[in-house]
Amino acid sequence: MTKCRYEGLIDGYLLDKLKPEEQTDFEEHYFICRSCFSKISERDEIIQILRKEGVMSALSGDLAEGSRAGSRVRRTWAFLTPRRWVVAGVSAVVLFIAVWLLHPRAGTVPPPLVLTEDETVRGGAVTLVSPVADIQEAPAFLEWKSAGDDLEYKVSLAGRSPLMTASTKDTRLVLTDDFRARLKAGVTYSWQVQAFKADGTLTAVSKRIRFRIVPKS
Amino acid sequence: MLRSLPCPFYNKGTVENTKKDLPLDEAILGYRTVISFRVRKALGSSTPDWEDVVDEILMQAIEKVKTGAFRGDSSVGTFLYTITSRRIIDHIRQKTKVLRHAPEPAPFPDPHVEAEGRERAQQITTAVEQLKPKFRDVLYLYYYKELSREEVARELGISPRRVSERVNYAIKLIKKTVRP
Repeated sequence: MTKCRYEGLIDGYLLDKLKPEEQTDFEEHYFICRSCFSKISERDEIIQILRKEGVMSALSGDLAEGSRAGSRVRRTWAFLTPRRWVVAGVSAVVLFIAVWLLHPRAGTVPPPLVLTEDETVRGGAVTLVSPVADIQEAPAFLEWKSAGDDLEYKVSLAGRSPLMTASTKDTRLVLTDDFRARLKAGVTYSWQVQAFKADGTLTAVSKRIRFRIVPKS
Repeated sequence: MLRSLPCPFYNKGTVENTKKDLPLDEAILGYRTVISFRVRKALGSSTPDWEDVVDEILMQAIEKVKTGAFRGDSSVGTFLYTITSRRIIDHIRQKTKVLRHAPEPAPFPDPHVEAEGRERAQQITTAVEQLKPKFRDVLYLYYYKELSREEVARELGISPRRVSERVNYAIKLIKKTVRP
């Protein structure tokens, strides 16, 4: 069936969306075209009732919600092409690995930093300053470098058996004369420092350093 | 340009051709519906005296025919369109002047017309409710929210052409229900 070329303008005319010149042409046209005028009248009647009687407004809640929800789902599915699915999957895996690697798994549990002769220090380290080699007389103090703020250092000194353990917030521990007198020449001693946070968490440990008292001959 | 596109119905079933065997003044009266539509569209259906304007247009047209002002150079439709457009403009100008002084009261509603309108609205409501959601959606967005075809297409995730198809089909279904 042949269709009038002006028919496409019917909705635009009724909804006042035509340009002024289009509107004028169309109005002049339907004065001489029975087919177009018949279609305009029919459609106008329906549109007027749809608006005036609130038919659509009564349904608008469901319709609007349905439309929005439907279009959101459709848009999401349209956005997620197979390639984008792959990219999203790979990104998720990379992100998971990164988070897993960076996550502080140690938490508040002290690290196993109790050293023996053959153990390696893991985590923070305390650097011992003195004594770190054989000395000629008993040391007047034990000294090390700071491993951070607000730390408490636990110092232990041993010969063939543990001799002394002490705690201090300073980086130097002065040995009393009585204690020094107990240290004998020719004996190998070792000492070590452990650093603790205020909550008791062990954060750093020094190597166990040996020294001997070798009197000057 | 629209004016350069001829209407395929022009020489077959135009309003004009159906009236060509009638006397000219009677043929002019046959345009009442078209003129009424144009006047209502321009002035709004709530304008109380739109029917008076239509009568004036028809009388003016018949008068021009009788006095020989219409020589038949243009079609009757074009002739009436011109008179209608001018009269609408005059009415709006005149109305503006009148309204500056005192607004007219609203017309008293005709109970028969009101009842008929309610019944028709109910029929259309039922028809709309019976439509599938995809058709209701386009009607709602296109006619009620007055979105463009492209905006409706974006909202629903379909092509603009599909929007037109759904609108036309929905109107067809409503007409079928309302006018069996």
